Amino acid sequence: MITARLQSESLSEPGPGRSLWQDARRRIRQNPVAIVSFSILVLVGVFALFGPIFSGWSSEDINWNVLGNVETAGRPALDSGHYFGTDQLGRDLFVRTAHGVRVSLMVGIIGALIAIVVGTLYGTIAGYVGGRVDNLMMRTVDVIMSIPYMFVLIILLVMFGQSIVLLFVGIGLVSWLDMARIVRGQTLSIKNREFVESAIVIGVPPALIILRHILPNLVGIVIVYATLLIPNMIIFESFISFLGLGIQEPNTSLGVLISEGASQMQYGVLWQLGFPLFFFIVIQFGFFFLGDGIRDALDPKDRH
Amino acid sequence: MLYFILKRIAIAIPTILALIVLSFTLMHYAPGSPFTGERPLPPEILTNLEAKYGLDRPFPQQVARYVWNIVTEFDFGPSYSYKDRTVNEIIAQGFPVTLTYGSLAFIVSIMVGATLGIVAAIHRTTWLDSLTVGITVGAQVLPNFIMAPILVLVFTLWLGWLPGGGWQGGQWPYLVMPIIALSTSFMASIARITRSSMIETLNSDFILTARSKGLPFHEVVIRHALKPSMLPVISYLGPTFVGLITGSVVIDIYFSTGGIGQHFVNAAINRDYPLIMGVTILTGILTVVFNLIVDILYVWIDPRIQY
Amino acid sequence: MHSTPRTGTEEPLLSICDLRVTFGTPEGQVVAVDGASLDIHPGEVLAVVGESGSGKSQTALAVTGLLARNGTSEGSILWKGGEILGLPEHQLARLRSEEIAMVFQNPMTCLNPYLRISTQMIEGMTMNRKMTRTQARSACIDMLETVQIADAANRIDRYPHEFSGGMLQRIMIAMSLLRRPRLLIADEPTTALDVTVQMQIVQLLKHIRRKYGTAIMLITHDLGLVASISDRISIMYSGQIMESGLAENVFSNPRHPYTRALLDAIPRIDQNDGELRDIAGEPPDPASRTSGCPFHLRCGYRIASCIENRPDTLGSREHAHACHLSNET
Repeated sequence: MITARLQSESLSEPGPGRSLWQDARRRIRQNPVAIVSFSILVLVGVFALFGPIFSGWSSEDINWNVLGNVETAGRPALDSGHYFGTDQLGRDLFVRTAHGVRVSLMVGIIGALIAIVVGTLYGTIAGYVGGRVDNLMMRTVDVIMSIPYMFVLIILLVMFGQSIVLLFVGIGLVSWLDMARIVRGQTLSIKNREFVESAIVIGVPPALIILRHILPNLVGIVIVYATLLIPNMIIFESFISFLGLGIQEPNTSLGVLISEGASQMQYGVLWQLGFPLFFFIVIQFGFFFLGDGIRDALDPKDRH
Repeated sequence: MLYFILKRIAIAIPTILALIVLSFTLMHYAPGSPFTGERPLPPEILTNLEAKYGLDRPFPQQVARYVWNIVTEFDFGPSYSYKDRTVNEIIAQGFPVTLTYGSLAFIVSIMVGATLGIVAAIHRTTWLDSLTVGITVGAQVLPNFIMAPILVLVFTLWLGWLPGGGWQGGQWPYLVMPIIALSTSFMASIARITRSSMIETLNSDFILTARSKGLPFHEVVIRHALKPSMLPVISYLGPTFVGLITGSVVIDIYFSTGGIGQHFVNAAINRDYPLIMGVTILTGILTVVFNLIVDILYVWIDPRIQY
Repeated sequence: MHSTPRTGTEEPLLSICDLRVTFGTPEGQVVAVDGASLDIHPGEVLAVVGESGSGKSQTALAVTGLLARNGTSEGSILWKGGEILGLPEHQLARLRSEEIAMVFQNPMTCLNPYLRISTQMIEGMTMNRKMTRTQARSACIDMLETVQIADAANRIDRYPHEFSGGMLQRIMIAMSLLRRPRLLIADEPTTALDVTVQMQIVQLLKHIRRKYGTAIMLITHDLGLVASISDRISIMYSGQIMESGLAENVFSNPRHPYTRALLDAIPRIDQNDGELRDIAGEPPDPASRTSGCPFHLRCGYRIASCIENRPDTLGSREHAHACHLSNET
């Protein structure tokens, strides 16, 4: 409850709709860091989607010539067609990295979407209805938050088998909690604004008030939070995959690739760690600065 | 104040009980059992095993017995995969390890993070601030499972200064990398939180009042700005604690330190349910207790909070 | 611009001469104070009156060296004849702790909400006056009683949020007086308070001046409020002093159109025609100062030279003003 209060206080109330968005668009265009971050993320996305077209290999092909001799024959080189080298099984790392980036981005975006939908719904209802319902709903969030979720997720993965669907569900289920708290705090403050009060007075039904007045005013904060959530989801997935409990072979993700690269790094095949790590860090930085830029654009007075 | 603490404890106890019952129920209905291996066991042996571990009784009785054992004796029962050891023994062996480097990482995160944040806020718009912000932004995207291999690469493989893993009773060369790997991203987050809240505090009117009284600047910071600027940090301690516990799994596995994280993942892979539950419930209890302490600390520091 | 001519042989306590305060912002330089001069003699109450953004608060902050980081001040500030502008921070800190005290606008935010009143009052005293905590504490309680906080001995250990705004402002004043300053700068001390409480605070300031002989620089936008307390008044507009002089002179014989406009704007019960007069137009933006007299955009008596040249300040310490119109007549 205390953190929720702080979070909701630290974000200012959204202003009127159109001018706010126009202002925000103008400010973000004037922010070179955000623009560069966004461009880099787009490039990474293009690489993930279309990169494999430019390679003669697929992510499961094994180059038998390389196998057993990876540290020399599997080096990154243009003439062998392995731009990023190969992994320990002689599979092309360029294609596998593209594949891994795709999976990680997908996990990040879908995980964030689940969090946004569930968290916003939950938070809006709790904040709007208020009173005992609110108290009960937020206490439940508090209780769930004190469960060591990573352990629970690992248990779920062990119990029901390691599937990508379960990974999504697991990630989504734990990530909506913060979202719910933030949205609730924001809803509480919007609820007490004059335009909502006047809507209540003239008898607009609650569902319509939420749809017309509350949700549009939450968009800003949700977007800001989502850009912070996506990289967190990627870290989350990578963590699980690093432990060998997430994405399974032959499917791959950045976490799997980093884990494989890290286990091989003493054998002189550093590129196996280097390339996935590079993309991981670039994606993290990209979302971090983009999120920062969006927050600046939507909430300029927050900065000193 | 006492009433507030009692109220908080009253909420914490059912949370812990719910956690125990929930995890037991999940385990009970989980598909597969620890004894369904590659080669099916003869039915009579299976029956014997189930009788030995109490799995043949009705479900409510099993739950009740499990909860009772934990509440009265803190006994998590026998381990399935380590035949001759109880869960308690395994935890007693692994937990001190995790606790040692975990609490050191916790202290390092807070001390280094808060110091960096305060220094940056005080020297705002100087190179020192830019440097700190740069470091913390960089460190924030380096979670433990990224830091661990990088550290080993540099300090073990290239420089040869530190051992790449092991524990050896917690001698310092074996502690350095686990602590750094575990604390880096939290240190960065705490530094960022401290910096922005310190800047906000230093812009408050009451800081101007304190300065107008002629207090030297460092005293203004220590006496007036430190406490309020630490409040957001305190509310971040809960997530930090959970994050450190979670991160210890990676540390235990990557550095082979022998902490409970390692046992946990092994248990998960071997479907050693009592051990999984034991570790989950223990960390759950620790988290609940820790959050309780944080809440009390918060109320104790901020006189305006009504309780 | 000349400094206000002095009469009398007594040396002024504080003498500000041609002060210029600028702030560097991402949008460019902002001039907050633009060549202001004023002085205060021991035991005197000087009211500095102006609209918000006229630079009166920044003048006060420049005196005590408390400008925001991006602010710079030029000109001259003499304290008892010695230059204090540009003094190193530790000397300014000593000056603030021993000679010049300040009280700010919003008592609700000016006391640290996390510390007891006693802690905040005592801290400045044990540091400088080599007092024991017990001595300091009883001095604080005495001072709280002086500012009419009832039951001070018990209330001193409470937190700020347990007091009302008016009481907090009394506490702020008490706190500033503990160090027996020669000058008390009160920056809009009544603005954040209820109207009924405002007069009480003014009464308190009067009482303090009588009891301790403290000079007071009272910064306010409310000309009506200062009528009963101030010895002299300086009217400030757009970072410059428009008119200054003895209170009775400024009130009875205002020479600057801006002063007259301000006086007209005071609602008066005896001449109630049901209308509130205000000054047409907006104060100029500090980020883009105009040439000539800063008031010319809103002035009903504007002549050609008002737009081109800044008027000189003419007159004496008893009464001076900066206006082309009055200078010619």
